[in-house]
Amino acid sequence: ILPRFPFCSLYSSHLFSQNDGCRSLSLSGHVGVDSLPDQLVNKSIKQGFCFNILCIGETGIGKSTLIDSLFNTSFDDPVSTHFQPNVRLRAQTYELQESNVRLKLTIVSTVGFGDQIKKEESYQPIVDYIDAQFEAYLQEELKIKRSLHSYHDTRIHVCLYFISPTGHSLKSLDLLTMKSLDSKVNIIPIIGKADSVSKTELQKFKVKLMSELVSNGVQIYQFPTDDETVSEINAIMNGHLPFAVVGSTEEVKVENKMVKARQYPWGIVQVEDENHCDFVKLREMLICTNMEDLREQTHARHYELYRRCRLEEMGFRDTGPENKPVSLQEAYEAKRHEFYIEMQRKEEEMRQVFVQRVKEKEAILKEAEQEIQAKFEHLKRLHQEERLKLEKNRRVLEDEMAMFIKKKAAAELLQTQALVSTPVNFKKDKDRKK
Amino acid sequence: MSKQQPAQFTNPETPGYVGFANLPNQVHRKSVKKGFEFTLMVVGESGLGKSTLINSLFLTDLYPERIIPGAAEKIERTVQIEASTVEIEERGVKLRLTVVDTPGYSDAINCRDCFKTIISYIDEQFERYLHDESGLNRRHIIDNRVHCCFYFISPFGHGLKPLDVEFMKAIHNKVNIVPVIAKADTLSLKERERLKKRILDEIEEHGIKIYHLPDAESDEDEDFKEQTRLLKTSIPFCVVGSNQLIEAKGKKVRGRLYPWGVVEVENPEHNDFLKLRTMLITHMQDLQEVTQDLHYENFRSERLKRGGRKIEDEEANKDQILLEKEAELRRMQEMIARMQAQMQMQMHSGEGDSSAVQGHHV
Repeated sequence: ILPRFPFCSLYSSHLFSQNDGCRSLSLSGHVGVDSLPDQLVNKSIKQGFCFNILCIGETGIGKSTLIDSLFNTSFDDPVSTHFQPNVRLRAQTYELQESNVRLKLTIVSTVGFGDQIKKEESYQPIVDYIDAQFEAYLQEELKIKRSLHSYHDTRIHVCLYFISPTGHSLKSLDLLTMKSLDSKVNIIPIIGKADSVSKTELQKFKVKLMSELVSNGVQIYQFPTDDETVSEINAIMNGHLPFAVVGSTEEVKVENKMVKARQYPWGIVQVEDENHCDFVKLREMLICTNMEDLREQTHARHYELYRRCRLEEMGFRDTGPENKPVSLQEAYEAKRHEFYIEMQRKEEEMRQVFVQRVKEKEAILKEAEQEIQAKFEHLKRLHQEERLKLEKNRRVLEDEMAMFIKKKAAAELLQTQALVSTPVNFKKDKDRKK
Repeated sequence: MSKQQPAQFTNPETPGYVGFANLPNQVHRKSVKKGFEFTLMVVGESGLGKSTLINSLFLTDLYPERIIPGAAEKIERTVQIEASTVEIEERGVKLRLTVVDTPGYSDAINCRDCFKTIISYIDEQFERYLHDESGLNRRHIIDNRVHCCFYFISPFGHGLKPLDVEFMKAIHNKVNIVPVIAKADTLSLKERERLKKRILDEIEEHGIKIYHLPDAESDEDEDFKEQTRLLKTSIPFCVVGSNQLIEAKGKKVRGRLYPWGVVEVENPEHNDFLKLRTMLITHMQDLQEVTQDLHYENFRSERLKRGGRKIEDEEANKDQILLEKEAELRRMQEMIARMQAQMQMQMHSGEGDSSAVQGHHV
């Protein structure tokens, strides 16, 4: 297995196929160029490998048991119930080591898949999860100060899709889910709990499944046949898809050996017996032979597709308006300029709206003012009228008072005159007047 | 009675012999002549082994031209009801067996309306029987009511699924439910026990009423009692179905051939097939009785309480209407009596006041 760095691999295949007038040199002695792959290998071993598996399947179909069997450990997943209200994903990361190779393995499993009565939205959480991992990587890639070499790559490298061993065909949920995922992840379909399907039934079942996948246009992962060292075995394995697997963490004694198996009253199903199930084939293909290719395909095909769609969404193009190639920086500038203009436009709009509002408010206030003014005038008039009335009344009263005073004065005058002339008579008169 | 020759009908060894001990034989004879009818409904997800099991139970092929649709067709598939009737005869005893299949159950992406079709089918059969029973000519009533429903639970999961629970709760008052786990050759013995227990717990938790075998009568023999006890503890039955003959241990048996061994259908150590068959045959009569006495009566009383929307028979309708009218009349009469009493009271008290009232007017 030749571990290759993600970015190198995109270019390395081109370097030696171009005939650009470069002459080939034959060496007369040992130079040491042949140690380059070893250096690469050493470096990558030091760094450690990272692999992410997504397991999709109904509750109870054997996802956890299969992963335990594949990696020869017990990952200790709790048994889930059928009554989950919607589909969730559970991710767990483990650090494994075999000889001197370290593997950071992340297993993501669906919880509650296929249990609901309404399953139209069942595949959405899975699609969202895969996209989220791509997005995280993209964000890291686009950063100004980035640290890709120490980035924990969480992108899903392979999806193991567990098909229920009904013996008939795919379920409607299987078809919908696989169609929504086939352009985002490498799908390897497998038949779970395959020890309930007899050999003849299995043949028919596999043929039916593959033909259904093909006729509905589902793109599953094909083991690569371009590398001569593995092309033959890969081609054969491609013909055995979907793999019918049986998993077990229990060991049974068979012929003085303890093997992973399932014990029935009528026989013992040995997990690692190729006659009994395709477990060994799956392990070989998934881990031993094609793990690196799966990682490469994820990065070079699925991730690139995601990235392109995302950037196009954001408004970036590879070619500018006159069909000239445009660099990312120019695209950035153009985008920024666009945003700036947009912002100015919005500001202008807001200003207009503000002015409009102010005018309206002023008009309203003016109207109110006029109203108040009118009221004031009206009140003033009323007040005036009152005052005139009161004035009139006062004058009348004053006239009356004046008359009274005059009368009083006249009477007093008469009185004093009477007193002077006849005091006796006056007394009588006075009495009489009284 | 007295004119008959007593010599022919008395047994000198048993004085006072009357002869009605012969009744069971008469019943037997008549029933053989009449024949039996049984309707079995089969419900479960596609691919759980329903058709294979039915074929194994009755040693026949009930589905000769079956077409299984692909996944794309299943997305919007609705549930169909397919009833096939066969006549089985064994040693002179005739059985008219109807198997009602429900293809499309749980196939669609949205299974919300999955069981409406099934429930209306069951109700329809009850309705038809009710109609026939209430008719004028009751000589040829055909009993198409569903006597038993085998509900198939998936052996690949951990127990009941939400759809299972909802369906069983919707029909447990209408039909006898017998839960069955088919394709049991995917479960080891330990896993089987665990799954059975889990399912029974969940059935109790959700209040689902499944069919309970009646206890053996105290006067039955020990073997029968033991058999009944064994059957009762094995529910739900874990079965494997097959009609293929495989060579195993020197003889031909019905089973499934695997690279690691042969699963024998009729081996009680391998699966509960024999138990299921025994239960079905031995208790066929009881299943029919429970359907008649419990489910049908429930349906009938509910139906009659609701009143004549569906019944076209006038007689039943008339009775119903008469009863209603009578009740209404009684109510009216009561109301009138009450009003009269009130008026009387008012008049009495009014007499005292009326003078005062008149005084005012003046």
